[in-house]
Amino acid sequence: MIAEILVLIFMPVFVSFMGLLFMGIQRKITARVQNRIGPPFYQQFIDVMKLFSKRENIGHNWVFDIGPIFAIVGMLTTMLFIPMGGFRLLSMDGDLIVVMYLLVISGLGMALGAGASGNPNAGIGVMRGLTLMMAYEMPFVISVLAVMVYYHTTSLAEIVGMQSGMWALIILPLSALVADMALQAQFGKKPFDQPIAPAEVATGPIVEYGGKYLGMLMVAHSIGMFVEAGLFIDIFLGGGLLFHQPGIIWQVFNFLFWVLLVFALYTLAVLVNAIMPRYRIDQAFVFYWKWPTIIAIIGLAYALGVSVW
Amino acid sequence: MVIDPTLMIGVPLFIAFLIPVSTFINRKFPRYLAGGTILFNLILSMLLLDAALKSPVVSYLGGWKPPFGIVLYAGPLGAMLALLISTVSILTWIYLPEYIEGGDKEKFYMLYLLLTAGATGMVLTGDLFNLFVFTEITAIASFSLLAYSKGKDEKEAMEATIKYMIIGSLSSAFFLIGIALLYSVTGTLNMADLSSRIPHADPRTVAISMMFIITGLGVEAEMFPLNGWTPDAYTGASHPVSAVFAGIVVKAGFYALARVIFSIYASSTGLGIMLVFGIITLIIGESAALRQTDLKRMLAYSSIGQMGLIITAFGMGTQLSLVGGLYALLNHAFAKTLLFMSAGAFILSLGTRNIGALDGMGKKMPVNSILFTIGAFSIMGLPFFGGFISKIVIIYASMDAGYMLIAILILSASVIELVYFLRVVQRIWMREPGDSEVKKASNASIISMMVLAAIVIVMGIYPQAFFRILGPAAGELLKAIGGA
Amino acid sequence: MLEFLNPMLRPEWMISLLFIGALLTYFAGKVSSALRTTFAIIFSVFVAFLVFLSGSRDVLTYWRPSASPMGFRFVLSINALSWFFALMISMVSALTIVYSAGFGKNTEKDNAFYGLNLLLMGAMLGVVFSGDMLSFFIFWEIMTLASYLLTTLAGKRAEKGALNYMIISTAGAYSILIGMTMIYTRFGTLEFSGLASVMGGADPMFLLITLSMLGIGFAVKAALAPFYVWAPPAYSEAPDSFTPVFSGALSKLGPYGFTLFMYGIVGLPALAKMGTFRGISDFGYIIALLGSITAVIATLYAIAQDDIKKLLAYSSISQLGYVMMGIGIGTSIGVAGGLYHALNHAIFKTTLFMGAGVLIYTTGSRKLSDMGGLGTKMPITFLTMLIAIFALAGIPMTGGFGSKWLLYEAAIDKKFVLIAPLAFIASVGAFLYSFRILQSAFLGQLPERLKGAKDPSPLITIPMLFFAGLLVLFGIAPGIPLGIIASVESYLGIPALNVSTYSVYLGANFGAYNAFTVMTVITLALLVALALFFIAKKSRKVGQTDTYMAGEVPEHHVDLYLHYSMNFYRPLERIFAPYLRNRLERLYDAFGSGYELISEGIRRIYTGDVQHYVYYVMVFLAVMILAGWWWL
Repeated sequence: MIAEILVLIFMPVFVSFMGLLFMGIQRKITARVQNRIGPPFYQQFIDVMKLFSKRENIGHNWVFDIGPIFAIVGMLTTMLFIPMGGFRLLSMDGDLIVVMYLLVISGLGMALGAGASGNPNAGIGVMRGLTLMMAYEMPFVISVLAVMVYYHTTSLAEIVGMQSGMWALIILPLSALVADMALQAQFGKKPFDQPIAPAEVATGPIVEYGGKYLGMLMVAHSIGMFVEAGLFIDIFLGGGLLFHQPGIIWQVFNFLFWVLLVFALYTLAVLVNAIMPRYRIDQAFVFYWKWPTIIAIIGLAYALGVSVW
Repeated sequence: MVIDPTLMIGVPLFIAFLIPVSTFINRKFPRYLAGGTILFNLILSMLLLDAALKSPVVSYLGGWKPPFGIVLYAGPLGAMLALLISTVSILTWIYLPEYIEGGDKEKFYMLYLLLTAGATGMVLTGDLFNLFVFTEITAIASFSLLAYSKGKDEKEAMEATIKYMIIGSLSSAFFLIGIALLYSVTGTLNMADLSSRIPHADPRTVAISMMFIITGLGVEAEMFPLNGWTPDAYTGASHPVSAVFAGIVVKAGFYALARVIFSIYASSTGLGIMLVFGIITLIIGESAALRQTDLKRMLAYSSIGQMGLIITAFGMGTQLSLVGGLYALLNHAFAKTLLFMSAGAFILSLGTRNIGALDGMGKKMPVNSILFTIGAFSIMGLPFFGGFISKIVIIYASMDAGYMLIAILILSASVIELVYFLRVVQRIWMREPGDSEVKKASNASIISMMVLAAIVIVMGIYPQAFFRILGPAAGELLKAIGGA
Repeated sequence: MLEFLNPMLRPEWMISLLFIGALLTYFAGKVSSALRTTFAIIFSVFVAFLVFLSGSRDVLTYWRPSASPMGFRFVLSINALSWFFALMISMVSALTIVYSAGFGKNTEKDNAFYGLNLLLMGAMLGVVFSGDMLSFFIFWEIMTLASYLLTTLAGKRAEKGALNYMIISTAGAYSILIGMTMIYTRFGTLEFSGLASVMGGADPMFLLITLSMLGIGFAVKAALAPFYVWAPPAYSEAPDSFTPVFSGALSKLGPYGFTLFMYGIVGLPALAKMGTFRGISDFGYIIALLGSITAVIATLYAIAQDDIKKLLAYSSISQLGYVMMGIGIGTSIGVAGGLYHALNHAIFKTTLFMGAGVLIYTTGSRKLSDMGGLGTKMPITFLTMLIAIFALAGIPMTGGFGSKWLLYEAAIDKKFVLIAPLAFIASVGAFLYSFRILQSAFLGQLPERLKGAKDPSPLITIPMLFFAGLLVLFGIAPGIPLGIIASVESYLGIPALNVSTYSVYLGANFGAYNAFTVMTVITLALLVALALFFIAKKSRKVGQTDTYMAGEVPEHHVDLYLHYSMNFYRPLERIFAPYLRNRLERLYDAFGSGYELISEGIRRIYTGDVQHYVYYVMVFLAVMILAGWWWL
């Protein structure tokens, strides 16, 4: 019980810390790819600390305040419901569909706050974000459905457990491929960063946020990175479980491997980001509803065929 | 008390000829004389219905027994229709003063009384030749009433009259030929005797006589393709006359048709003809109404459609279908009379029959608009109104008799009907009115329409009262055909 | 304490109270408008209370009319299924009447409005309480008539919508009539209890035809594809204070009809005889598939709407698609999900249409792009609508999630790979259009002319708050509604859902949904976030127009270019535009105008030339005689 509470407290702190660290590293990587020097890897920590300690914060109204608060609430809640590298906080209750909907809270709260700011750029950003969501959800849902159909369960813990022999990535490679494409948009990386597109809509939803608001959003973002990647790992990479023996030491190894996997997934997204231009939002939509969807359908048909016959 | 149905025919006929004379007493006297006579008929027909429900009332003209004498036969059906005729007649009488133009009103009342008497005779007679005579009386009165129009509508009315007369005379000629043929093989014209002798007569002659009679009576019953006169006649006639056509003339004509086919021929071929041509009439009538822009013409086509429905229901020839058909007949008689009356009020105040002119009349003539709406809803078969009950019974009867296609066609036609009536009703209530002044309908006419509306609503929410009469009435027709 | 009401807890009492109330209300309006409104509220709320009190205990009433030609008796009954729907209907209707009283308009049409509303409520209760098909049909028709008349009260703009609604509804009702008479002529009874024992034994072909005939009628009310074309104009053009009932309560009669006939009367074993697909009947599968297709199509239309009522109308169609999907699937989870979603939809869509009414009343426009920034001016309206939108989007914390979750689980459980993705996509689309309402009406810039906007009177806000409260309650304790639904399921002979107050357990193959845990975690997370928020320095509030504009100073046309809500989803609309040009409506229109053309031809039969008429008569006679001659 006490251990669980400790984990409960430790996890969000750790995840936020690692998220910020990863982001710092990624900025460095991107810079290297683009032949720049880039900021130091601890730049994100400096930024967050600076933002939280700002002497003046600018707000608009109470709805505006909801945005960052809900962003954190949504991400924290979701995180607790998914298995994270062997740590199963509340994930016994974690139904994949519940998790997918909990994940939305953050975005919707964010959208509310952004809308309340009254800045048209924020409105455009939210519109793009929602449109993009509709775009990538199509292939993503179909590929996740393939997994659910294949294992005939919707429990995340069950899905993770069933992959102890072989990862779903290997059994259902097409679905995994599509889900990773969707992950690119979930991370908000190019070519799917239309919602924040700094050069077009001045960072979109977060255009009005500064100070502690922005700080909270950065924290939420770093948790979000782990949640999104974690979900992918749980579904396709066996929950990042390398060792199936009991024992705290193995569990720590598992957890470290899981963190490594998150890093790998994120790096992959960042590398793509570094060399890609940005789609227009309607191009992004058409892209997702075309090839990834077709591939996902093939994957689903395969999963269905294997599971039914 | 024994009611003599003879009085219901004799008295109006006699008074009708008295009316031209009575005008010397007072200019207004003819109106009240006619009204009194119809009232007399109304009371008598109520008593007659009461008696007929217990046992049929038979009366012999001049005391001669059949097969030599002329017989009047008032079963539940005939008595009910006599009541219907006098009800519609008295209500139209209340309604009509402001709707007939011209000076010679005594002539109008004479013809009106003649029409009532003739139609009552048609439904009460038990003799085929007598049926012909009364049909002729009714027809001649109808022609003259139709022509009774002065002013700007006169030309139109004349044209309609000529059309009606040509087809009407043709039809009576055919009717007469049919009767003659029948007489040549059976040697009697009494309906009861006929039905017993026909099975032994030459079937081919009988069949051909039936075709002639169907053709002859089908004209009055508005059966397709014999109903060419209908749209023009309804449109050209003055409003009370249109109402009377829908409520009395056509109903009596239809009764004659049904009577002949059921009681005399008891022929399944006849029923088949009714069924097939009924459904065609229904579809054609409703479809033709769909595109009308002339209010009265639309009602005329709707009337054709409704008659088609009634003919179809009778053509199925089961107890239930007859009850449904009779229910539809009553509903149509009252509701369509109501519609013609309220449409008349609209037309009188607007000066045009164009449906487009009705925009926003709900605000200008609210009472009349409500009455029109009630009539329309009842014809459409919406709940709370008589048409709803008749529709359910007819559909049930047709499914019960195994005519699923008929049921579907009836319901499709009903949807078409809904469309064109709702277009008008919505115009009345949902559009904004123009700024022209309108003349309100007179209180008398409103009262008579309200009575009709009340009847239609009672038919919709308390149908048992009507079923009590309609059951025996349908049974009476079916008896001859062996309950098939 | 309330025992004295016991004799009144009977269906005939409730219905006749409402019908009498309808008349009284109408005529009271001739005396005084306050009296009328009071009457309407008292009658409707009292009957709603009676329905609530009566519980799902079985009550049966017979009435055999004398001298009827068909020889039947009318049956009214309360059972688990009808009580569930009656509760939903009476709640929505009564509170909407309270709500409409809040606007305090006193026009001529208001007498008719309240009278018809009570009539409609009575007819809807009549439909669900009917224990035989004839009373079912009669109440069904009264319901259609009352709702049609209520729609026409909106005046000229509702003309086409009302007409289409009535035409399609009537066609649907006639289809029910055919199905009903088919059943009657086959089995000789119209009573549900009698039919339930014999229908199971009927041959599959007969079942298929009758169920399809009945289903067409129900599908019209449920706005299922391809019969939904009447719904967008009718829902959106109906009077603002009637639409909540129209969409919230009346549309539920379609799913009710399906549930009653598919499971209550025909029963699962007999349905299965018609052929099965992965364990569910083909008939159910087709309904479910149509439901999910409807959900997606209507969602795509909803996204493109700027008119708030049109948007909500399409959203209703889409959500009803979900309901039909669940009921069609017909497993324990599916039916539970469908019924629960029906309840949720009744609540949240009523709230949303109520809110839309308030917004339209406040801003004088139905266009979302004419609104903006009202969230802080009208906090109660905003919050209630926000909660309703959360429920619509299926965000956990509200009741809406539970039902959607059940529906997905039902589809995934049966491995329906066509239905499940469609349902998911429609749900994502629901985020889009529901956010459009929030963004355009409540967020963003407040136009100058709406500076004086404020929350409406308590009569309006109390029903909305009540519904929002229910949604939150269901979000914490889904066991309350699902418990009732489980009893409905066992009444229908479907395995009942395993629920406790806070959580739903579907079986080993599913993750659990423990609403209480979710809420606790969210609350904890909220505490953490709030702590973070308040530890940092308090923020200074600045004005709405004090925003980052890349150096530009907004002066003129502030409303116009600072509030981004015109053509909100333009990029998306551009993609879908070629596919969504009201194809189905065009098909119906083409059918309509095609028939008009035919009827124009038929009209020409009556040439007006008497020679033709004589010719017809002669030909008829000749043909008849020839036929007679040949025949004999």
